Amino acid sequence: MSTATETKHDASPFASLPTEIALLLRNPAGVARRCRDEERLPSLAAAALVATIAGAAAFGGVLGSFRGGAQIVAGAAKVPIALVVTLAIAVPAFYALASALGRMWSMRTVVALALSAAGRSSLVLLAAAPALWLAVSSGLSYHSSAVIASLAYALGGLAALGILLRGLDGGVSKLPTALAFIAVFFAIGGQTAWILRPYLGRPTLADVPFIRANEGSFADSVVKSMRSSVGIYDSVEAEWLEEANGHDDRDTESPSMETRGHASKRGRGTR
Amino acid sequence: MHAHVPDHALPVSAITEDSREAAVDVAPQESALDASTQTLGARLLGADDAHATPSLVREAIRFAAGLGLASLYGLAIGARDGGTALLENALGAPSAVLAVGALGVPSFAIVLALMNAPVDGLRLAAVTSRAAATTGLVLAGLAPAAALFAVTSSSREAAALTALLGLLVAGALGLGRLLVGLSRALAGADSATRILGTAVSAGFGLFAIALAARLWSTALPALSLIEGAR
Repeated sequence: MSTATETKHDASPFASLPTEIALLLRNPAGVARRCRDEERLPSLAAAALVATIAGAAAFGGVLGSFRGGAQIVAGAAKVPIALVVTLAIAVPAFYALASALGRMWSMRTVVALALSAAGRSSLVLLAAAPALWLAVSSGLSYHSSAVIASLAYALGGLAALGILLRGLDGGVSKLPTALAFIAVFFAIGGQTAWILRPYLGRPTLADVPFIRANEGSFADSVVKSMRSSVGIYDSVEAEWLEEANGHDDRDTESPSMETRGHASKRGRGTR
Repeated sequence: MHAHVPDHALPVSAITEDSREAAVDVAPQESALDASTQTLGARLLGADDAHATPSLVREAIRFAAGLGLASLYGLAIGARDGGTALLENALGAPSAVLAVGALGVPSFAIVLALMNAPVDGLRLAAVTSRAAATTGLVLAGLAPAAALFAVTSSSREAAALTALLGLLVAGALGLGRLLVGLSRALAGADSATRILGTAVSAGFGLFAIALAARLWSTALPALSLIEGAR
């Protein structure tokens, strides 16, 4: 890149926003190389951050449109928050794992790579948003909407991997590093997304809270599955019902459960 | 764990004199950088190959830095209980690293000396300090995630499980670095010493795992399945 162009980019990190966003989509290898070489990172990071927030907000708003009203605003706020918080928590882990596995990157490189991957992923979500909105507004069911949204997330994840894997060029530790990054990101992302539920919000619910009460987590579900595999079956709902009614009444779904947002065994909770 | 390129293949000529020692065992993308641009991770994990001359003071500082970073993880997992549990966990997390370094490694040095292995005390200290730094760095990196799970998991089992996972990952990476460093140090020995040294290193690895498991299970209240048990 010429000095004149660098001066132009230095003027404002947002000046070259369209170019950088196009690069995120079209040239993941070039983006990954720039991250590693720490080349013009402010403009790349700014574009990636804008893409992350805008894409995730649009997708979140569409998710919220399933219920409509305030849930649109809540969804548009919560999806970007979940993504940015996940990045903030995952980046130190990425840095430490990369260093331990032989990649002596600077924190700037790690932040830029993570932001770029998230930005590309969010742009895919942005592209998927109109299709999801059309499906939702055409009367798609709650569960089908959730499945389609999950597919869009999966596509976004694949797009993010495009940058991340190219950032890990060569070396015998490429696979372990990639697997470590993916595991860390999904664990943290899963937990962050979990605590910020609901996103869709069932229309049958009288009131959808901005954030549901703390009831289980990604890790809790792993523990629950492990206990179930050895014949120990337990349920947060069952415990709550026992406390509320004074007896074990797992198949009964009281109206108050709907308003409190408790998930039932049949999966009727808010998502 | 730096297995990208053999050390002798690195462009040493491109490295300034000050950074030569620290750069001989780092990844290719970092090796071309001078000392002023070395990352924190590169400085902390440093060089552990045969070309570098270890300094006891530097290795002691590196080891202490590893312990300090590990204590951040303890603080994170102690956030669930709060209060004195913060301090207990902050002291408990580095305890296994300290015990392996202070109790296990001297014994291991005696065994290596009996075998007449070409690994002197200073070299072993260098390998150990880098392993401790690796464990500490990974634990510190995972600390924010550990705090998230500790605070937001509804069951204590889930919080303990995620805390344990972080310890396992960091411990495995640190132990891996220790064994790779030892294997490099033994590379110049005759084949019989090398084979014996590898077997003894594997035995030391098992001892380190058992010692770490024993200490972490007793010194970390966050791993207890009973709320407020300690």
